[in-house]
Formats: sequence, structure tokens, C-alpha cells
Amino acid sequence: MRFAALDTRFLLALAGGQFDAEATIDYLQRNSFCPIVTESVIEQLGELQRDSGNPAHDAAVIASKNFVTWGIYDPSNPNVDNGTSCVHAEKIMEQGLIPDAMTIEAEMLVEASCHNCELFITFSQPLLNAPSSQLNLALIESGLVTVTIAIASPEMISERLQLLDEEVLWRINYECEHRRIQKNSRRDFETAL
Amino acid sequence: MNLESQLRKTKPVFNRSAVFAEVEKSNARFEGYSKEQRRAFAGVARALKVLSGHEVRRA
Repeated sequence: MRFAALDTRFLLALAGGQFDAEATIDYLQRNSFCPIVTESVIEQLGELQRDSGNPAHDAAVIASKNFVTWGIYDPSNPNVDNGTSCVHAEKIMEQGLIPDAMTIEAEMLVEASCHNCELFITFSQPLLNAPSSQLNLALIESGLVTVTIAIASPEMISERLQLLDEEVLWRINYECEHRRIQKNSRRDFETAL
Repeated sequence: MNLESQLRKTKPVFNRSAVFAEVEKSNARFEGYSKEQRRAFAGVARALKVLSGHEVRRA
């Protein structure tokens, strides 16, 4: 089973019916990924529901109610439960590997790697701009992970999905054209006989 | 009312920039929360998850 972790902004965008978030879920299903949310994401969803006046409140409620029906899981992990992931996230922040990021964003990434996620889907610019190789090296040093993690934005993934769809369409057109040529040449051959 | 207008009415309005700005503020607030407070937030979100499952079963 391959895992992909989703961040809070992504879940809210999915709750709001945003195109790139929905396309990302399609992409994950097409590539046999199981989408998950980590503990920090659940905590943040709960926090955003406290004040009904904030603009994220409705989306947070919809996301909390429905993420399971959207095929997203919230598995537990011992390294997250005992606070080890939190310590490693703070270490990554101290090392300056994710400039301009908040600790909770680093926590989401470390938690995702604790779950052996191959993909981390986020809208967070500091995470998307962070040096991927150095981050992965830091995660490997922590001893919590067995796979390297790629950080991608839903925009990147929907572009990728569009490319894949174009490729499929091109193949279908090519096969149709090939069959038409074969059929015509057979007919020409038969009339010539 | 046709299906499209019905869908538009039931679909929540999502202002991406406002929502993401709120998440940004929430990220900053999380720097000051204790472990217990964070557990309580997770409890709120999980309660909704369980309740929505109950609603589905009742329906």
C-alpha cells in the first residue's frame, strides 16, 4: 500500500469543491495511493471549528465530517503519539531547512514521513520551496522513515493529470487512425484483386 | 430550480485566499498551544467524524 499525506489547506480546498484538489484525489486513486491525514491536520481542523465567524469554519466542519467518506484515512502512529515526530520537526526548523515555515507545517511533514508516505500534498509555499534532498536526508537521519517523500502542490498534480489525459487521448486517436488505415488498405487490396 | 442552480445553492462558498489566510493565522496560533489543548482540538474534529457516521447510519 502506498500512502500520500494531505495538509489542512488541501482538505479545506477539497471541502470547498476546488478543481485542483479534486483532480489530486483522482490522480492519487489512479496511481494506487491511499490518501491520509496526520494528527496535526486533525488538530488544526478542530481548532478552525472553534470560531464560527472565521472564513475557514464551514470548510473545516465539512472536511471533519466527510473526509472518511472521501476515502481519506487518519491512521495513528506511535512516533506521532509519543511526541518523537514533534521533536524531529523542531530539529528540522532549528536547522533552517524550511525557511519561513511554521512548526506545525514541519510537524505535518515529519508525521507524513513517519507514516512512510511517498507524497506530501500541500499548498504551503515554504514547504514547496524547501530543498527536497536536504529535507529527506534530515528525515532519514531521524531514523523514523523508510521511504523518501516528495512534496507536491495540487497545481503540479493537476498539470500532471492533464498531461496523462492528453497522452491517453493521443494514444486512442493514434490507434483509431491506425485501424482506419489498415481497413482502407485491406479494402484497396481486395478491390485490386 | 434546475440542478445546476440547486448545486450552486447547496455548495458552500469557498474563498480560497480568505480560507488560506485563516490557516496561516492558525499556524501562528499553534506555536502557543499546549499538547493538551491540541488533543482537545483533535477530539472536536474526531467527534464530528463519528457523529457524521452516526447520521449516515440513521439515514
